[in-house]
Amino acid sequence: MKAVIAREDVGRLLAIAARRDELHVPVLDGGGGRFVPLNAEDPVPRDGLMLNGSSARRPPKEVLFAQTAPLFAFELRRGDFSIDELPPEAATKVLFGVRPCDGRGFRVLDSLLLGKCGTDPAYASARQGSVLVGIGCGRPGSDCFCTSVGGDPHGTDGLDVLATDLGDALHLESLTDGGEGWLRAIAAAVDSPLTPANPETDQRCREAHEEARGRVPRHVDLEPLDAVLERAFDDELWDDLAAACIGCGACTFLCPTCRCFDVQDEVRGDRGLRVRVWDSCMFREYTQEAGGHNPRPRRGMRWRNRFYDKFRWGAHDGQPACVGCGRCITHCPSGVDLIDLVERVVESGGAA
Amino acid sequence: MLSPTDERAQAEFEPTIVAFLCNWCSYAGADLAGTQRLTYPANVRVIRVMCSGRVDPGYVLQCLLQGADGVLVSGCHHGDCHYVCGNRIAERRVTVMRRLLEFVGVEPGRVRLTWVSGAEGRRFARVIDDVVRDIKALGPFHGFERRAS
Amino acid sequence: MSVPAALDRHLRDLLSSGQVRCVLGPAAGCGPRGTAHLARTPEAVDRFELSPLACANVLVHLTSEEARRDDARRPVAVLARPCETRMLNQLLSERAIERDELHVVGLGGCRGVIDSRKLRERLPELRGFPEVREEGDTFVIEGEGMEPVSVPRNELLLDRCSGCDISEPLFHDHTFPLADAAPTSAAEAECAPEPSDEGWDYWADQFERCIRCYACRDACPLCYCEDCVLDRLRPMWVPRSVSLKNNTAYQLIRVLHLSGRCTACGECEQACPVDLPLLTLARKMEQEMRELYGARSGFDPEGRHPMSVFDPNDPEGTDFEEQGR
Ligand code: SF4
Ligand code: SF4
Ligand code: SF4
Ligand code: SF4
Ligand code: SF4
Ligand code: FES
Repeated sequence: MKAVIAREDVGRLLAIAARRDELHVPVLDGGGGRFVPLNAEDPVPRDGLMLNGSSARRPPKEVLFAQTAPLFAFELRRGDFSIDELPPEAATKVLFGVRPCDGRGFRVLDSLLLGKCGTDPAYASARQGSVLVGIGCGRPGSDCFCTSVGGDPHGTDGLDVLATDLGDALHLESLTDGGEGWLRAIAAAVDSPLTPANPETDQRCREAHEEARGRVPRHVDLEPLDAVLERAFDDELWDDLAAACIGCGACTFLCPTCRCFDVQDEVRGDRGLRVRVWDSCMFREYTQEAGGHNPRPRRGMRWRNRFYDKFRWGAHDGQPACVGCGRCITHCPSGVDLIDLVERVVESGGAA
Repeated sequence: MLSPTDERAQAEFEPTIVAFLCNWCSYAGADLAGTQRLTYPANVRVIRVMCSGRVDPGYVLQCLLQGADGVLVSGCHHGDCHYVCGNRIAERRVTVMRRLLEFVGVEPGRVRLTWVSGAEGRRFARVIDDVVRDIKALGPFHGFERRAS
Repeated sequence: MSVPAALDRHLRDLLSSGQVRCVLGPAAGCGPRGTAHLARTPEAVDRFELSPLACANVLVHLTSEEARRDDARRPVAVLARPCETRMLNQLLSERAIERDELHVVGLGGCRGVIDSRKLRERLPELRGFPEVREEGDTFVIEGEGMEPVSVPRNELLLDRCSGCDISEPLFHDHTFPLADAAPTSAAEAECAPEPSDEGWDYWADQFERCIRCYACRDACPLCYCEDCVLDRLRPMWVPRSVSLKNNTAYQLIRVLHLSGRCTACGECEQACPVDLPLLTLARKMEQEMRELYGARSGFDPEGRHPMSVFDPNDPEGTDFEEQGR
């Protein structure tokens, strides 16, 4: 199904969507923006929706793959140990305003968290029935390179609905059954502001897609990378590449496809909570073993892990696990640039 | 302005206060207050430390995080510390911590510092009276959570 | 080659004579942010860059776990702006590094550097690392495929630079003037913003946003503990769960551990990916230490940590009645 909505009516659409499901939208928050839940009574967030311009600094990953997910509570009561399972959240989650790269990012999350190795219950229940309503990028950000990793500023992979910004209106197109159902339900609402698409809007849509593609500012050729990575693991180059890195987790915490976690027991007195929390392969403790040994003692080795994860181990369906959002580049405090690294790895050719 | 219900809530509010007392003076002072059968409010949970200088600001913070409404650090009078100057160091630490708390909008009065010697049972009881009274006036601590709006 | 010829020669000599094993300094980044560069060979000196935009967090690489394990990093020559010599002093006073491991190449006549985040915001269309010229009270930015743009200095200066009152290195082994720069005028130095008292609601908004990436700690040149309490699980000073409460605990502990040592360099704030106003906290505590104990970190390489000493004339922290307000 295709539909069009006037820009000034977006608030009304969001109000309808928020009445139906648990709706999350990107808003400016003083820290570059993130997804927050929107309630039906208060459809326009005070700090401003981030639907035009660039992506929210924090990707929507955290809505479905929460940074902190309580798994169960436990308690010691008069010598008895009891465990309370925490029922998974039931509400259907709709994410409105997901950038195409971030939409593809969920595919990468799915491949691990719903994959062959088992299912992460917290993620699975949040992901169950979720609807990802994407918004294309008319103005890609300064370090975007989605087109180099198989994406596009109006890519559809991973999304359920794609919205295209036509300036005075948004053009909505459903891409999956879930998206179709959602869009139909919105259209069917009594006060629905949707109007049917027409050949003219279709045409403008195609033009917008074409134009945006040309605006993606950065490019990298991944073609030669795989062959080099085959050989480069034991190369000395990694320490050099990582020389400026300070080993913070900013890049991984902002990445829409990083999905490492740790499990911790947080105990106070006789009660405790087992939580799943994000972790980062850029941290030293990530591989620190209880006996003191650390198989990845140097930053170079940690960077190598992140790099191989993005371009080799994490790759699936022939696509890298990096979706080219550029966040790790823009926000690295040390000026480490992933594209530059790819180029330097390729240039090195890998050890013989 | 407190509404009448708030006032009632405040009157009934019994704060939890953690007191870090140094082994050599303040703890002895507390002991003396007990043997002299002086009465003081039962809101205080005493933690004995060897010296007030042993109190890491992190301990104070943990108390506030884990439900205390106020914290008292008490050591020997100036010149009496059994480790020479632990109390003077504690003085700096607590002062700096109070300034930081105040800056982020937490009443500094929730963290108090004083000196009580082993012979001052009466002073100890009075200190506790004062702390409890003042923390009651401040009301329950939000524990670094959002205040209900 | 992006450093003045005389400096270039000096650095190459240091390396080729074996006087130092490496040189640490700022370089241009791929984007507008500068980056730290470690040159181990004379040829690698080429990458250094002294443009006011190339302000990287260089000193953190002196104390990083990596550097501590790497003997080949010492002795090291450091290209240091005046404020960075202050940080070096602080590191020396803490014996985090020894004087004979260091060769300080001080950069004199510093007029301040550019905050790349402000520049990005001002010129979103900027790509790559632009050329920057200083012309009076403006920076002239020349980006790839862009007309030169003049921006008033005060719109781009790094926050730590507005209010900086040192324009010459506090100490050095060699010093080089930054290209025809005039020292900061006193008027400019006075405009350090007073940390304002915002209250808990404001700070709750800030701390709530933190994603606990630990970048503020990792970026701090003074956070070099091998075993940081913020990582500790037993005892768990700060639970890993991300919540307003835990984030606040994390930040207050970090700030307290730096009070009296922090030089308000602002690297923590620069590193924060979600823009927490961490320099405000740093400045506030710096001001308190000065006011309470006359302590100013980084001005005395032999100085003791003000939290581990006392002065008989310390202001009474014990006016018990007064505290209760
Ligand atoms: S690459 Fe940058 S963001 Fe990532 S850990 Fe290193 S310094 Fe931090
Ligand atoms: S690796 Fe960097 S560019 Fe790639 S998806 Fe992650 S944050 Fe985006
Ligand atoms: S990487 Fe592509 S899809 Fe992602 S924000 Fe940039 S332009 Fe949009
Ligand atoms: S300003 Fe921040 S980074 Fe700099 S010394 Fe202080 S705490 Fe560390
Ligand atoms: S850098 Fe910012 S987001 Fe990261 S831990 Fe520090 S305050 Fe939190
Ligand atoms: S022993 Fe009492 S304060 Fe040091």
